[in-house]
Amino acid sequence: MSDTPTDQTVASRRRRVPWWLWTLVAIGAVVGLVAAIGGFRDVPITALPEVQLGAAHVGSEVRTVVSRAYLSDTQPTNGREADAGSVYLIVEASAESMSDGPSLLDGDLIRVFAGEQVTPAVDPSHVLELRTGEPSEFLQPGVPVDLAWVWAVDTDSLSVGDEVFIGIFDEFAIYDHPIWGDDSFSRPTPVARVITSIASHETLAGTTP
Amino acid sequence: MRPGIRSLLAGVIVLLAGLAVATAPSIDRVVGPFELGGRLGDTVDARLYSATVTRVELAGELDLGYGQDGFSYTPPSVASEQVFVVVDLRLESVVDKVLVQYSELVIGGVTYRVAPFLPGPSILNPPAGPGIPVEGTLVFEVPSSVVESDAAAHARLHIKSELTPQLESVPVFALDLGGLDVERVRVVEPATIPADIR
Repeated sequence: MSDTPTDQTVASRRRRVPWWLWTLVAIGAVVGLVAAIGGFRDVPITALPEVQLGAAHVGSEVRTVVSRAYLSDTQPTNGREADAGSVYLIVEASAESMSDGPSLLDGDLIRVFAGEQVTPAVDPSHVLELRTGEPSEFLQPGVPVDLAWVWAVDTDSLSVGDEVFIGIFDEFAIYDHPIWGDDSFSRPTPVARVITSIASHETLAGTTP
Repeated sequence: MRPGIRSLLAGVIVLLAGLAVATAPSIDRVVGPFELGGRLGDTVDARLYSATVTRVELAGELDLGYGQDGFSYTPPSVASEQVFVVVDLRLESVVDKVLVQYSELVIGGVTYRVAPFLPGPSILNPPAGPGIPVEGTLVFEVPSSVVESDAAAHARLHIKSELTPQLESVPVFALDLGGLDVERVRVVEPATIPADIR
């Protein structure tokens, strides 16, 4: 007995792979490809390009020159004293917006690995403009400013001479969303590192960043 | 519907959607601010405040000695390796106290935000409510090369109380910074209510 045309159509529909399965296969293939070429692997800090202390790093919108890292009982310029049992780890750098407007990356520009207490996940307690001692609010285009990122740490957690890894972070503009029409920025990510040892405030006294 | 026609229709719809996205006005054109133009000496009345630029000068250092009377970490003087554009402003809010900390100076397509470090009372946080004028100073730090460029003759000062004002009127003053001498030190006074209305 031969199939009627209706039976053939039904059989054909049964044989056809549903569209959602093709979509899943396509997504799986893309994810698999990304995983295969290492897209989901953590980027080790040693993979970041190294910048020397005092050398300039030019990111997508900010030019950064890390000048020094040191321990001090007081914050620079404003002289605020650390609590008893604490000391300030301070990283100083010059930063300048290279874009055509103010950059708000100043707060996220620098993070450090230092001892057990300070990791890149720990935000600085203050980001100060060294000229005024006031919190930094933005970076003006074409105007370099000296900034200090400040972390309060236990006195015995870090010592002068300890090695410190200073990460320079960057963010990338995502232009002109077709619907919202608004520019936005990616999450700040580390793009370079500076390796130095921690100095003491006393030995730096009188030197400029 | 025949499969060929269906595919053609889908293609046309995708093309029309692309055309709609490509030709849609930008968000700034749809909900951007209404810029009200003015020049040095003009009073520009926006919906929430009126503003008058009374003087514009350039300086290499600011004397902020008044700030030492109150609580401020800012030292009594602040010097720049570049240039400070110092704008004296008269501001009067209409509905409620207005903060103009998002004011910007645009020169040659580059935007400079108002310096935040002036000790209080400053015009960034005017010491008076609606209907009471306040006189004070805005400071912008800009590269020396910029004020020496031709673009400095066409600077535009935006007096803004929001970072991205939407459907709101904003005074915009055309300023000529070309040819201004750079003072060595400019004394900045605190924001005050003018003597003639006290």
